[in-house]
Amino acid sequence: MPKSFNFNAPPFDGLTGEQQQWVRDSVDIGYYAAGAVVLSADTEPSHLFVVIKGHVQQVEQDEVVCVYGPGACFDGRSLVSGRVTGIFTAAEEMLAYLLPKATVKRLIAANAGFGALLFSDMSQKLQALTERRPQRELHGLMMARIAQAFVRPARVVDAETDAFSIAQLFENERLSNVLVKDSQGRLGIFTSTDIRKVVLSGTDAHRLPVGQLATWDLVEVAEEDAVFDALILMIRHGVHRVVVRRQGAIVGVLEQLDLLSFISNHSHLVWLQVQQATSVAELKGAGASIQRLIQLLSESEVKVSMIARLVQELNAKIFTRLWQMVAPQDLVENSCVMVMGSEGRGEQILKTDQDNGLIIRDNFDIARLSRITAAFNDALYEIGYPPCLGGVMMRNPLWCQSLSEFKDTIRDWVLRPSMENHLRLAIFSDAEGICGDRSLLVELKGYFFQLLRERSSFFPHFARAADQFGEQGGWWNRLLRGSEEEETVDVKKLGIFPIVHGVRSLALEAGIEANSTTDRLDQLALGNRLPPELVRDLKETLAFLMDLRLKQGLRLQALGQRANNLVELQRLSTLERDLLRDGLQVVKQFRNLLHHHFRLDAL
Amino acid sequence: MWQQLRNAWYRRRLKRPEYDGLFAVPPEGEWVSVDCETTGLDPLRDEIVSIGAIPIRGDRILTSQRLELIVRPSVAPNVESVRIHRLRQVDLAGGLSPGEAARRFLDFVGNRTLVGYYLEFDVAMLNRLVRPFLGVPLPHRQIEVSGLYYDYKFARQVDGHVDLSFDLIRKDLGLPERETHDAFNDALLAAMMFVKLRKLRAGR
Repeated sequence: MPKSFNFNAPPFDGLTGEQQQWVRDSVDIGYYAAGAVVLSADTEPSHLFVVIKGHVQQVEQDEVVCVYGPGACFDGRSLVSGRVTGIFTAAEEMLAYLLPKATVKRLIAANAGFGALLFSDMSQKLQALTERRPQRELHGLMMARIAQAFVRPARVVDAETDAFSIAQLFENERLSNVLVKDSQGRLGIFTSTDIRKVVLSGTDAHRLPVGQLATWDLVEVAEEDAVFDALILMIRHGVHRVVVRRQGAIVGVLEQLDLLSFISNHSHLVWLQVQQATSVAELKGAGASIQRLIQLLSESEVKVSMIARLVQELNAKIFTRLWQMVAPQDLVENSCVMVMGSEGRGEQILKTDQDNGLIIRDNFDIARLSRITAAFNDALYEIGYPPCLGGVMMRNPLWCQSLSEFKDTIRDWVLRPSMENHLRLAIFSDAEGICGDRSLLVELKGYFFQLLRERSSFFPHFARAADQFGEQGGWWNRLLRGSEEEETVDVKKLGIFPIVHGVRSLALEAGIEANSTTDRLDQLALGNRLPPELVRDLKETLAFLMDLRLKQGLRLQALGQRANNLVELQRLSTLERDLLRDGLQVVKQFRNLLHHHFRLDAL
Repeated sequence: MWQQLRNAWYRRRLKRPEYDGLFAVPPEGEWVSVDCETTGLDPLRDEIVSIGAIPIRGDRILTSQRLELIVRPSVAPNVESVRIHRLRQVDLAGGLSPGEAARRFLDFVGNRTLVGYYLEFDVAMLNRLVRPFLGVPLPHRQIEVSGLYYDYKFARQVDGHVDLSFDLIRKDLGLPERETHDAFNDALLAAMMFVKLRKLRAGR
């Protein structure tokens, strides 16, 4: 069975052939009868356990804090610290692989990905177990600092250096790039692919300064930034290298390839797939890859907000590529495609619907516009984004208008309050321009904010929706008593929507232009409009609820069903139930605050 | 009693005095699970092609210290058996000579008690290697896993028929499936059966 050790599951999925052999050579198998103590404070942790069959419970202070089933491994934390916290007992009879500490250490030293995955898993549990407070955000695979990744030392050359010498330098020192500095201190990059340009230029390489062929708009990061941010930047700017600085001084260059091997995920491949796609079918392939990436990241216990941001970037790339395929160039230049709602906020992870619209420059006319917009929506559907049931799609004339028509429409919605119009405004206020001329959206939003500033009576009615799913007396007690009758909780109605909409209302009132709920919350805290503790709690609650919803959605999709918002209580661990209970308490507190703030009782 | 007498007799006929230790009292709490793949099912004519052996200490199966040997048979394996163990003639060409295989096996097992499923057959096959080398057959204490299983089942359902096929025992004990049929995997499953049955019996 060591031959059939599962090397496809994290943290073992990134091992080289040689490293897999280390595992095979040193792994034993242990048998534990039901109730047997596997690890306790009295035992010196000597192995990493990987469950083959059965389940193990980790109990701390009479409470089950974690359950490990087939495929799960434990307890990296005690292996590293040398101390076991709590008691691990076989909840039912268990067979497990026993990987000796020495091998684990050797793997951590030799394979950064293994260590990162082992510890990401661990840190996630650690947070849950010990502290549910802000330092949680410091953990997680994607939160690793750039300094921890493999940053290649930078080689800086003068812009006047001739291309021939640089080519020699590449050859002799096996470099693939150099940083180029010109007389004004500007910094650029010259890579081995740029050598092609040298040949094509037809100039004698001995007399051609590299400065002429270097790329000057470099993307830079600080050494203490998150690895994740570097990845986002690379995707956004379509570059493969970023310059890393420590307190302003250059430390080196982070290559995308190194970054990817460090975080071992497929986002780069997805990006390439999108970039190279020439047909809807190929984009569909990319869409499916995003799905797999989400699965992978979710399984690696990457923070849900991180996943959401990455997915938003990748989705935007797909939308952009598709728009370039279906729309003629002059339309692309004279309009702005916007995504709205959760997609605009960067909070849609699984594709639940498409909310999009098109703002067209005034006086720009194009024939057969409706055919183009319909083609866009249809293609998105084919790629895997279900149509919006509320019709928020650019094929609907309401969401495809010229700038001045749009202004009139929005003015109309603001002046004539109704549930429907408020919903439309809510969706629009999360709009994010993804391709074309974004200044169109900026102007439209500016107009919207200006309208609101003159109309303070708008907000109470608008905010009231956060309260529309009223107090459903039952859930609270259900959660406390664990009654059998109702086994699901609608996390969207009870938690996510009230938070998102309440925060949106407060942000609009404060004139905050940010789209994502966490950014809005941060700015509300900065402006002293919300107490910092509540902001922190709301952010954590939202992340937790989104994570629950994501896990549930992935599970349903694996069963071939559509993702929904109903979380089954019985699937939650004791710890998760506690967190859910605390989270819903935070939502309740927030709703009370909204009541007072907007005087909803007076309406 | 009978075994003691028999071993005393064997001990005197031992060809290689350095293996006298095989007759010592076996260590407590240690066993070796053994399985062989052969050219066929006739212990008189067929020969061993591979040996898998895994030490067991208490509740731990020490797969990290496993022994896997390929033995070069003097006759080609029959087609039917190749289908089962998947060792073709070319795979066996690089195998050990029977004498070398016997030496490695004995050095590995020492005087530890042997464990296996239908162990009688494996021991008979092993003896075809061991006897020419040692002058005597394997003197080891032996534990038959299907026997343990029979006792365990019999104690629970007195007059029931007990099915002793390998796969049924595996399923009944809730053990994982073996993906390929080779000496190592079979020895591993026998080891799991043994460890589990030992616990079940002790728990009674």
